[in-house]
Amino acid sequence: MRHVLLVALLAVPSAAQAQTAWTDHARVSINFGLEQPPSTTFAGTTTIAPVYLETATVNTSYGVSSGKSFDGGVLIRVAGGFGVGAAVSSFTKSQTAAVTGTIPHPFFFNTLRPISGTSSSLERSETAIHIQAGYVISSKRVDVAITGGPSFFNVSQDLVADATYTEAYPYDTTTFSATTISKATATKLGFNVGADIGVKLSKNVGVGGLVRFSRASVTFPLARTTSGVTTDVGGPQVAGGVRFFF
Amino acid sequence: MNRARIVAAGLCALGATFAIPSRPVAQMRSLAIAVGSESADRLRDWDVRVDQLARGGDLQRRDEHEDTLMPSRRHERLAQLYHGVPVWGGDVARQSERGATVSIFGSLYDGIAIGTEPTLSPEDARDVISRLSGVDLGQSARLPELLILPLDGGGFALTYRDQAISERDASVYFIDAMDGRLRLKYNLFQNQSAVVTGTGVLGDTKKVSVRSQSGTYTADDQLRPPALFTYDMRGNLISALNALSGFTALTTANLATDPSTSWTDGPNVDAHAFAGYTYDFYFKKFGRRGLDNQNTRIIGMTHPVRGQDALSAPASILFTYYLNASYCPLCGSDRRGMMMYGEGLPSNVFLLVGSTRVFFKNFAGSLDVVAHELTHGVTAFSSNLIYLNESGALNEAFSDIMGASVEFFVRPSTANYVMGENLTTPVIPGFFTRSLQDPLTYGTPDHYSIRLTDAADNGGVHSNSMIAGHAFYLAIEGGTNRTSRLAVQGVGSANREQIEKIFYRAFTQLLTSNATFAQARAATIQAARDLYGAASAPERAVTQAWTAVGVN
Repeated sequence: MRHVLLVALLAVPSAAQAQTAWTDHARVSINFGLEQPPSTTFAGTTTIAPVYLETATVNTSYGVSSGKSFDGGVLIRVAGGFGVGAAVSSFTKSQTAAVTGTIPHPFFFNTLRPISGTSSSLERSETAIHIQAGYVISSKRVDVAITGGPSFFNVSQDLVADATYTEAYPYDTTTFSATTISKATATKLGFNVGADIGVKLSKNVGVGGLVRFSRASVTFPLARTTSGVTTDVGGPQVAGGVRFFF
Repeated sequence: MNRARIVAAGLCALGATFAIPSRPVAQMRSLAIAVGSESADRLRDWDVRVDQLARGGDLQRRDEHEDTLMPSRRHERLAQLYHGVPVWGGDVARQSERGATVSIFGSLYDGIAIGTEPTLSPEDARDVISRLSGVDLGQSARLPELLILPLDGGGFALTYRDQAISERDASVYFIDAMDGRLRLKYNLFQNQSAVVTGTGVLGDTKKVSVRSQSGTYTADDQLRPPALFTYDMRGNLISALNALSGFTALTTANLATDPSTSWTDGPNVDAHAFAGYTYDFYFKKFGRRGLDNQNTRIIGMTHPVRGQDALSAPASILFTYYLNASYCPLCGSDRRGMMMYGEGLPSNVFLLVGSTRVFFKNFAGSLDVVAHELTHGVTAFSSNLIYLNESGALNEAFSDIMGASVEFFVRPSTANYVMGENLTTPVIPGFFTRSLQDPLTYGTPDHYSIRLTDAADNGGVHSNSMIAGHAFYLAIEGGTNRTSRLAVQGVGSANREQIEKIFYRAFTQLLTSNATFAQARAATIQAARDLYGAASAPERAVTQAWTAVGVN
């Protein structure tokens, strides 16, 4: 991911060598690519109380790897090379989480029994609206837009709300059975910065690439947690697609 | 699903919007409805809304009936649907009088935006529930029901709901109809096992396994394999005698009970908990399933007399139902045995021993005593040692040995070889106490040559028992017998379990009802060879121990 980002940024000065004024009224980009959320893991602890008069805990370590993203945006020139616009990006990924926990013993205080297992098919879905101010460096066939601004994230995440287990007399061990999943949704304000390069194939149509970094920290509400489950959303995004120039 | 949270969220949702980006919000909104005639405008609005929802198919009438207390009124119940699928927990109750709505209560969910075409079939969901519960539902003609489930963290899921009932669990499962995940599980029966906090006779706190039934808790252990009951006779000696004699059967009404989850009747707490611990000891150490190894029911009886009657009680009652604990092998209406725990004495009543005032606690408060009595049950169902002379002493010895062993099992850091040390204050050696470690100091023989041979106490069963008890102690801890001055190399406390298994094997598998000390020696040596081999350290320790106590 870092290598891709570096190459894309190096392209900016190259395109700027023969720069001219940005004369288009607007540029539209539609991209498909990859996004890597900034937190590759995050954790949540659910307390289940009381189980046999004491507190049981379920700790979940969620993995978040890169996934496919879709992005569409428009930048409208307002003066010179400056423009404003907005982009919408979406990211969806299904992940597996590691679940560990402790379950109190039915007969004795302070005798916790461990459980562990996995919970699969936990879906993360992010939709972000990136409000952008940008400056476009343009040449005859290539233009590069440097953008930044606030982002509004709407994120939904499957969270492990509880773990079920089986136990049998004499109850010295428990066997992980399954997890109970709760879909949590949160919205949060963050930021975005990025660069978008467009190569014109004709007066109005071209191809291009996008590098963007966006970020916000969200807290998902989840029952029986002290403060919900917090993670970072957004992250570096690399995409390519078509460009339209008006 | 927490009803209180739903209502709270619903009341907020009535006036809330969701366009605040800086804080998380849940997708799900529940509308809690509670409007009566005091708010005519709101009632009218909701009345219209309910009618609209009913016409639109979002509410379905499932019941309508007259008010039996107010004949002019009628009640209807409407269930919420989403695209024809019931919404779990979404329903409305509307009261009317001569066609005019009087009140509306209920909860409705809005913001539902999910597909209602399941990916899984009902049979698929049934298979998932079977796997999760361990209950084969394939025989059931009933298929899981499709429902919209409001989720704790917000949002909704299309789920299948069904129940699975086994001997130990009865639960309702909600399985995601799209991917088969478990979405919610909760207990089906209100009559369930429960664990409560109990304060014992000595003021210690412990967990007690009981039955929860209709808002109260009874001393009926639902977590252990056998039926394990503790009956509280509430000081009614006549009832206690009738129950012991089998004239009347004990019922649920006789069970020790408490409406709270914090039990404070120490004898009931300890009798019930300690019986459970003893069952655990036998199961985990020896794989034995209860008194008869077939999980026969275990019954303990507390409070057979009233403490305040102690001063007026004749000696026969005082030393049987106050200052005693016993196992009666043929007691109970089914003649399968019962434990009875003496009441002890009120805190302002004492016995004078010499010039010492001795106060007595309830006998159920002594773990080794409870285990001792239950072990008489094990003996009754195995060797059935006759409670007279040497076999009687061996019967008592095995109960003391296992009583001490249970104490080491449950409380390894504080356990000792003294029996009944928690019964009296102060502890006077030999007065309601015995020591496997030092029998002589407690007034009992530590050597076969000084055994009691008179007819008292069934031939000295409570005294001569210490000869075998001391052999058990020496085989574990080692040491020198005070009478014979013979030294024993024990297996060490870390290997305590070896000697416990040897004595358990000998006393439950090898000995017969009229066994003698010499036979006990031979049986334990045989058990040691069986378990650990000839010339093994345990065999040597057991052999030396019996020799040291004069049994050859």
